[in-house]
Amino acid sequence: MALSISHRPPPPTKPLDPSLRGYLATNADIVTRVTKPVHMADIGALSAQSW
Amino acid sequence: MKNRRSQARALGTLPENYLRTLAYRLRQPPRGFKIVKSGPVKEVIKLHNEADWTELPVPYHKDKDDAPYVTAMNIIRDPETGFYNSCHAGTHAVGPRRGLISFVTPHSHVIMRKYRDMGMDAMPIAFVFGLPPAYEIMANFSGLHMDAWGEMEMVGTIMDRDIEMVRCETLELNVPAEAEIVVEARVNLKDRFKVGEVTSPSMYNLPHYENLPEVEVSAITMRGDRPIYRNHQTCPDTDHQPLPRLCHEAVLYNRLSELGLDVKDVRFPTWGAALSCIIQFSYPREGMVNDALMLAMGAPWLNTKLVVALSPDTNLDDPVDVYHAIATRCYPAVPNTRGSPYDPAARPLEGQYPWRVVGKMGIDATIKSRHDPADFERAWPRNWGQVKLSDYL
Repeated sequence: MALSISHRPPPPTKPLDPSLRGYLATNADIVTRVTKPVHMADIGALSAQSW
Repeated sequence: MKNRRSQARALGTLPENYLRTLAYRLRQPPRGFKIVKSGPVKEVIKLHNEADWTELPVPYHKDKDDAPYVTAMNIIRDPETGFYNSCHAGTHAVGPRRGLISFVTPHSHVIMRKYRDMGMDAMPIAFVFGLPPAYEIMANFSGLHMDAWGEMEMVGTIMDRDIEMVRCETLELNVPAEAEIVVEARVNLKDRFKVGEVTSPSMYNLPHYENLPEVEVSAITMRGDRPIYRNHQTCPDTDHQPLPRLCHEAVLYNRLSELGLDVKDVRFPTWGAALSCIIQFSYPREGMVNDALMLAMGAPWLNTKLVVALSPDTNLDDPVDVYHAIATRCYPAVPNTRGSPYDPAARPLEGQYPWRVVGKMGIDATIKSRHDPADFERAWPRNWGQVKLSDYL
């Protein structure tokens, strides 16, 4: 019998959320939450610092 | 979307399975989408003169920007095939209903040409803000569609679920029903307008100008409860570097696997200025590494100027580890110079233990005096270095 290599990944563990707000709630542990008012001019500099 | 953890979450898998999952799903047929009558994005509807996209929190991206910069996903429809193409064409919001849009993908230009060839002077376009990140990964696909799909037809495929689309208010176009905000517009196909200082993914202000078509906004629809404005910051090292290259990585994964390599990872690292690619694999015999390097360098995109092949034990999340592998494991083309006895890549000299010979390489990464010095000025966000994210948490 010929050997074959499978590149099939494991099946997903659970369905993905259909909306961004659902995704953010499901993945709250990796979301950076800003709680204080931010000036519009600082949006770029601040968002670039998040991972 | 800057790291494997968040990219894996976008596909509902683990980081170690992320690339294999995206590569596998891109090999599947398009799932298409379901058309529904309405959705959350229709909770607020502003038409024509009521629609003012300067009321959205569109930020400036860098000091040299003349106008706020929209980086949302956009959708256009191929008038010949009917397929839905999408990308993130940066757009200067220069007025309440006017923008100047920078299409960079070849497919977008082909579709614009089709509209012109059909005698039309405008092309419908929808800017879509706030979607699950899998939409963004797929929207940034660049490459062969095999005449079988556009990016939007594949979103459900890589999400492994159905997606719902709803008709626009003022355009013959459908948009994701679950979006936070949609801006409907038409691209003027006749005229071009000069705009200066592009924010390149290489993090410079290049090119120094573009001649761009304008868009005219005709409607804005959004959710009623605090709609989320999604900003893809373009500089410094942000989503702008990896996001357009995540599908590149998956395509290369498939091609490298076809060579017979056991591929562990393919990365266009965020810190690589969208010009460098790391391919990581184990291989059964000599000769395969050079073929893999040439395959990557011959990729259709302009992002493989520098390609580095690494073994599976190097930590790609650590630029220091990558640099260490380059320094200690490569054998450069300038041959037979004195090697260090501490360099495992250097060839041991028979009978002269522990001495070795090695090749050497020099990489000139300085600012080039023969070029315009302005080409090398880095692009930075406004107030960069003056505000700290930790002060706002």
